[in-house]
Amino acid sequence: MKNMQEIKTDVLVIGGGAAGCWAAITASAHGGDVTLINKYPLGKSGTTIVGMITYNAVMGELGVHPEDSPDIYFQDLVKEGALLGDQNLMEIFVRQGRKTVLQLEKMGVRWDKIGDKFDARRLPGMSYPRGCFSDHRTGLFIQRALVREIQKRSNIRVLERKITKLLTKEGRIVGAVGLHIHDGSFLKISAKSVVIATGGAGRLFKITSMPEDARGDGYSLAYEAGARLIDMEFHLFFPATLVYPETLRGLVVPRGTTVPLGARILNGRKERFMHKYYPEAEFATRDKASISIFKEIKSGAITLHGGVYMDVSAVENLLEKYPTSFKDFKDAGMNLPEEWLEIAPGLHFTLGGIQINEFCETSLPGLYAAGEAAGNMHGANRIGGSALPECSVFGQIAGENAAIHAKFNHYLEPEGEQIGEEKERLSNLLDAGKKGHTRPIEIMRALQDLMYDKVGVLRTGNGLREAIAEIQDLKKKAKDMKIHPSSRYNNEWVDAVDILDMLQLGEIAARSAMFREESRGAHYREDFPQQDDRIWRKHSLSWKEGGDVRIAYCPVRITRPEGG
Amino acid sequence: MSENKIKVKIFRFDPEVDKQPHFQKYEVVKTEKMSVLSAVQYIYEKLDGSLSFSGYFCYRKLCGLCQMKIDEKNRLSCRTPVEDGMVIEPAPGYPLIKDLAVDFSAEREGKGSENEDL
Repeated sequence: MKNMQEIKTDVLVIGGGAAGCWAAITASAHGGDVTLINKYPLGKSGTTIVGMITYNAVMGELGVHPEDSPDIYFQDLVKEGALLGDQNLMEIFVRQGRKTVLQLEKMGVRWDKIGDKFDARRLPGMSYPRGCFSDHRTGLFIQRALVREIQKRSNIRVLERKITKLLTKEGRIVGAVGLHIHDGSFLKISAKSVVIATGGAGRLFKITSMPEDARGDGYSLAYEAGARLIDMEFHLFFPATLVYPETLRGLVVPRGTTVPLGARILNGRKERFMHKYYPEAEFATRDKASISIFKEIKSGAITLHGGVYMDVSAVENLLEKYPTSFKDFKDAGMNLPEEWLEIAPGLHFTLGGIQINEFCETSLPGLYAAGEAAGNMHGANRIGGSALPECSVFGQIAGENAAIHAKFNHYLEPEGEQIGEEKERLSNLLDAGKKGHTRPIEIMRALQDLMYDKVGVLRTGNGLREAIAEIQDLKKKAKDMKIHPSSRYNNEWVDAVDILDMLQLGEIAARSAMFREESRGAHYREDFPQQDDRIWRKHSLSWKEGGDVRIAYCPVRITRPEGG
Repeated sequence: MSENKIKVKIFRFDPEVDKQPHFQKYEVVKTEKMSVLSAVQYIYEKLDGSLSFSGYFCYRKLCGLCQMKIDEKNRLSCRTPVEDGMVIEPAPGYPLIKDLAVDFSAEREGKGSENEDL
């Protein structure tokens, strides 16, 4: 058995994307020790760096649309979220975005401007253009700026570990256990408060625009510790992501802006079909376009790689206009603009998450969450460009409150034998793996396939029941996993740890989607196609009780009954 | 589409077990426009779960974690087409962990107490 290292820190932040970096930076300003733990190299992993363009903020007189206001943004959010967004959180969000744009500018992010005014893009659902941007790599530039700030602060320690368990004492969070992927050693972290900022769970689905590490670690950590999750049935798909070539799978293909310029969508028989499902055809909003494309794929009129075609040959100056998409696809070997792209909907954003209040407190004392790991400010759908500012605004709030909590609390030892048991759980997985039968990656692919087919864009009661049953079968297979025995950078071991958690998240998603007998935003039930505000304008809550998932409901917090 | 099989040679070394590195040959079913990264992932998924390589890739030329030495050149494997006979080694300039996995981390130990426990 490898050595167990031990560290103490006032505030532990798990996840090094925008939300986690902001939490660490903000907490460090309070003077205590902060530890930021990321699964892979900080600044070179996570989802923030792939956030290409827009960062929504109401810039007032500093922007090109001074007539825009936080109140109008609020109304847009309520509407686009299909009345399910947490208005308490929205109230803060719409007012604080601007401050974060200016903070990031001071840190070196060069926002695009017209004269001295912040330029802004308009995406569907926005009453005014409010998507600030920095070239075509806004997320990457934000991530780099934040990492530079972290490196300036001597009271922030950065470590690379995969956190596998939160430690508790009498319902309070008192630390965590981490696995060092490089050498298989374990780390015990005692912390006075913990912030989860681990992003979304795109990798529950076979096609996703999220990178490889977006496996929903934070949801699982919180769930296993007893925290409440909210709205875990809401998974937002982007209608056009590449399915081929493999190395570009999941990458977002601009549709909203290319369709008006002549882009067309065709099925595997090279016929246009979008009009069959909605009269807006190719111009349909993201959710309707996803449904149309998914239905056509289900009908069997598919391309060689299981999608539909997108023809962008009529779009003028395609490569110059889209350096980070079409130009890049060409560099990767596609014969653009002539070659037809093969596309399908890909999971884009996990709307649900760890339930938080306006202080980013979760249901467990000492535990905070921010960014995509938290839910559910947006509601049943999300306006493009609202994810990155959410990370900044709530990352700061989480860091602030976690630091204050740390000032007024002591280190506590976890109750029972949690550390030994966790070490044993992970080591046993590896030991038993020598004699096991099914590889973790096989189970993961099976889960991703069934989630995409039955818990994805299009859902039915029967499909969801089948999904739940299939997940139970996969859980049985996961008790007998075959794993290579090395403890040194063993992806198979990491996959094994993750698949156990991912199966549970899949089940929570399927169960809460099965109960919600209506359609709302990103949750589309073919057997209940209408939105039913009388019964279903409420959040689902899920948590672990007696070893099983419990699901209940709570009202949506409404600060403006008239909708703003 | 006919199956197009190619062979690639991959650097293998587990410092805890092996005295010295060696190369292992794998036969990969090459799909159209397949990248070196996709070939490495194919090997992990279909042939050999013991092969170590980074657990993160962005697929967008942003992270740099798919860097590998491919036929003696340091390249992004996600944007390099795979070809028959290629020799694939870990990214140069970083401490080797195992096989193709290197330490890309900017891990920084600040002040604080890190000590050995049992």
